[in-house]
Amino acid sequence: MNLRTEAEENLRVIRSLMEKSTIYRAISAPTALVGGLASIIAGVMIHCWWCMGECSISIAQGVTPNRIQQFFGVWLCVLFITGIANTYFIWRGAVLRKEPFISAGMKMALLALFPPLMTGGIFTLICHEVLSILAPIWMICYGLGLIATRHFSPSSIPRLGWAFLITGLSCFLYFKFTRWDLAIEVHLFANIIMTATFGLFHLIYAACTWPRKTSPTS
Amino acid sequence: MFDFDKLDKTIHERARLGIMTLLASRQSWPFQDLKSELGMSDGNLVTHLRTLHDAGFVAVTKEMLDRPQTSYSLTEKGRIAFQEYLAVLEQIINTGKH
Repeated sequence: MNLRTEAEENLRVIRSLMEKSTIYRAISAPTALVGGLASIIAGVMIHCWWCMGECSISIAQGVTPNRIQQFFGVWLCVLFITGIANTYFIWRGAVLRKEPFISAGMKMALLALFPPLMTGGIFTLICHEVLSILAPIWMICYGLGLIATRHFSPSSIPRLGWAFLITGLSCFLYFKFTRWDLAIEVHLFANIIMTATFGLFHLIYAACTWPRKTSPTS
Repeated sequence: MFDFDKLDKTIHERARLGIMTLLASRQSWPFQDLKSELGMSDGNLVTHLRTLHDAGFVAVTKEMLDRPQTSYSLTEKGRIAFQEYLAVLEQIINTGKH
């Protein structure tokens, strides 16, 4: 019985150390680069579209442009492209390390990310007409998701999460207490903050975490 | 009745078990990270690493990055020994259930 207790204790120690030592980078530097660039392109495209070409043409034709649909369409494309890129880079990394694609680290990351991302999804369904609420909610939920991986991710990821969370909360308060005369102003600002956060933040993250080559001497 | 000789005595020591566990979780560990994770002194950690190295369970790599860095990893022999040790622990627990 004493040996059994000792064996159980040893297995408990092993399990605890394994969990503590698991490091999983949910966002790689290349993924952040792809996502950042896609976000910047999308944001600039929407901005030009609304400010110049499409809006004026549509209004001239007597058609009210559906900016909500345009906003959703473009940013969902960014999400799709970034998701594909992330899947590819994770798969490639797993093949190079000869590890399973769905690793224990990935399972932990998905479990941590699921509640905040599900919350963001539900808010999207409820508030899809109100970009002044939706854009900050997306930032807040994404930030909370990254922070939730803090126990097993490199410190850069929760830091990125905090940047999204603080910016999202600040924008939420700004939208709440600022008087907007035109809907276009709200929509443009929502697009700008999406571009600044999902674009610039990810590019900065990619620049800070890009792998550097080292030269071993033995 | 369980045969105690099945337990690898090199691994079956709290500090070395911790070292083997961490080395099994990642490709390699720098010395300072091992020390930080296990909360051991330099001398204590070096002694246990030397024991594991002499047994052929651990490989050492010395690199010159921005400063000299020593990293440790499990050898194939060490990985097999650790897996066998885990199997023995499982066997002990299952034996105790009957």
